[in-house]
Amino acid sequence: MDLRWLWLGIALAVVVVIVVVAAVFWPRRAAKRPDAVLMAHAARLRRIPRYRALVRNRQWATAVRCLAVLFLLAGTIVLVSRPTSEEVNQETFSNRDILLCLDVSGSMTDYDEEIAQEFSRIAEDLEGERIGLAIWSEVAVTIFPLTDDYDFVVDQLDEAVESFDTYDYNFIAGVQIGRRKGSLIGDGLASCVDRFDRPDEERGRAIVLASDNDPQGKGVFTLQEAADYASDEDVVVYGFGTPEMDTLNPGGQRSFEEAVESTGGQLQVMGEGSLGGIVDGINQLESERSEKPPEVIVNDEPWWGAGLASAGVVLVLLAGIRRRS
Amino acid sequence: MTAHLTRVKTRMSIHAHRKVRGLLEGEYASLLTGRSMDFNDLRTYVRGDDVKDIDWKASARSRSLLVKRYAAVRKHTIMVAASTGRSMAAMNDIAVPKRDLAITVAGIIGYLAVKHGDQVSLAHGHADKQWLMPPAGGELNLEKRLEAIHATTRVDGPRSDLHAVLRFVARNVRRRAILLIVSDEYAVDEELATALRRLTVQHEVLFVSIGDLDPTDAPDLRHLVDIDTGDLVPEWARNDRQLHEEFVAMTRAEATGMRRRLDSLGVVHAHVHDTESAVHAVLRLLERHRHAGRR
Repeated sequence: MDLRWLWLGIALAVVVVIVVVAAVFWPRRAAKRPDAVLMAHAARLRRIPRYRALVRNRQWATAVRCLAVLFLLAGTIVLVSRPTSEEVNQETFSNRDILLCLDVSGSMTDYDEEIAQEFSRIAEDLEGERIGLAIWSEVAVTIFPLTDDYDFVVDQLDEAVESFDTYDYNFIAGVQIGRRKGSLIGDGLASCVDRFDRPDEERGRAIVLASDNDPQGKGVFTLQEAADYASDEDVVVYGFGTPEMDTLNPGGQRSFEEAVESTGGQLQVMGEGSLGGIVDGINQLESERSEKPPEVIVNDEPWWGAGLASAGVVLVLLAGIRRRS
Repeated sequence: MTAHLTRVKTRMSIHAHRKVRGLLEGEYASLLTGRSMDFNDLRTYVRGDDVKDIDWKASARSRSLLVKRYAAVRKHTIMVAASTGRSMAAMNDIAVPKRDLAITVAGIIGYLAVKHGDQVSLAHGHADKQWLMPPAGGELNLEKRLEAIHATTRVDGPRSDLHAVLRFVARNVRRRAILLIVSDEYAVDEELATALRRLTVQHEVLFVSIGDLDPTDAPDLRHLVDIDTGDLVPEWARNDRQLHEEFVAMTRAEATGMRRRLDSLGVVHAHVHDTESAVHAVLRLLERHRHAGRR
C-alpha cells in the first residue's frame, strides 16, 4: 500500500497535534461568570452515590466521544493521505486463440493421439486462452470451436485421445467425402484459418498443424498458398511433422518447414519427448507476440480510512443516543 | 442605619401574628434566681431560707409557709459568635444569601435580648481576622453589630473558619454569657467538638447552623459556582431527580447527626435551612434551651 498524498496526511496530523497540544497546555483562565449563583460546600455532592454514578456515566460518554473523535481524525488522516495500491497489468496470455488442426489420415493417428493428450494436459493450466480442435483429411471438420471452457476442452480432447487410440471412425467421419483424396494439407490449413472468429479483435492466433505432409491428390490450395493466406490473416502456424515425412514425400519436410516459417512459426519433427519442447516454444513465441507494454493501474484503497471514519461516526451516534437516554 | 433590625422585626411580627399575639413575651428565660426587686414566684419554705423572705399573707392564705423568690436583676450578655467567611456570602436559596439568614437569626435573638434589657456582644470573623464588639444594650448597638456581620461577610473575603472564631472567643471573653454560634458547618469534627466543650464550661451555648443552596433543585437559568473552589456545578447534576432525593436525604442526615452530636456536648442546636422557617427554628431553639436550663 502506498500513501499517495502522504504530505497532506502529515500536514493534517501536525495540525491536529498542534491543536490538541495547544488545547491541553493553553493557560486556562477561570471562566468569568458574573451572573453565576454562588454556593458553598458544593463538594458535598461528591459523597452522594448517585453523583458518583453520574460521574462514571459521564466519563464513559466522554471516553466514547474521545474515541469517536480519534477514529474520525485517524480515518480522515488516512483518507487524506490517499492510500493507493499499484497494479501492474500485463495482458499476456489472455488473448490467444490456439486451434489444433490435426491431420487424421491413417498414418497420423498415433501422433494425433499424442498431441491431443498433450494439449488436454496443457488445457488444464490455461487461463484466458481459447482452444479449438479441427480435424481434416480431405476436408476439415470442427470437433469443437474455439472456447475457453476448459472442462469441456479437456473432455473433448480426452474423447479425441480415446477415439484416436481405438481408431474410432465415427469420430473422424466427414473428413472424407469420397473422392479418394486425403491429407490435403493446403486445404486443411486454409479451412483451419477460416475457423478463427472475431476477426476485428487483436488476438494472438496460432494453429498447431500436425501432418505428415503427404497429400493424396490435389487440393484447392497448395500448402504455400494456404500459408500465405494464414499470414494475411495474421495467423501463426506451428507445424508438427512426422519423422517419416521425407520418406513418404520427398522434399515434404522442407516445403512444410518453409510454409510454416513464412507465417512466423516453426516446424518441429515429432519424436520422443519433442512435444513438451514444442509446446514451450509455442507458449514462448505466443507470449512474446501478444505482450503489451506493462500497464500500471493505480487503485485507491480507501477501506482503512473509510472504516475508521465510519466507526467514528457510529461512536458519535452511540454517544449521542447515550446522552439522550 | 436601622435596616437590618427593621427587617428582623418585620419578620418576627409576621410570625407572631400567625401564631399568637405577644409570642415573644416570655420566650426569653432568665437564667438565675436571685435577689432583686422583681418578684418571680413563690415556693414552700425549706429550712435555711431567709425568714425575711417569707410571704406571710400568702402563707396565711395557703396554710403553709411560702417564700418569695425574686428574679435576679443581673444583666445577661448574649454573645453572638458569627462565622463571616466567604462561604457565608454564598446563597441559601436563589435569592437570599446565607449572610442575610445569619443576620436574621442573630437579629431575632439580639432583639429579644435588647427587649429584655440585656446586652448583646458580637464576635465575628473568618480565617484571617476576628473582631470582638463589646456587650451593649439598645437597638442601635444591636443594629451596629448586625451591620458588622453584614459588612465582613464578603464574596471576595477570606474563607470561613469557625474554629478560629471560637478560639478567639475562648481567648478573649471572660464573662459568662449565652453564646449563640451562627455558622454554616454541616458536621461537627473533633476540633470543633473540643472547642465547644471548652466553651460549654463557661457559657450557655446555642448553635444555629445555616443550610446551603440545594444545587440539585436550583432553577436552570444561571450557572452554579462553588464559592471556595470556583468550580462549576455540572449541568447534568442539576436536573437529576434521584440525585436531588439523595442530596436531600444527605442534608437531613447531616442535620440529625449534628444535632445528636451537639446534644451530647450539651449544646442546643437548630438548623435553619431556609428563610421561611428561620423565625420558627430560632423560637424552637429558645424553647429547647429554656427546657434544657430547667433540667
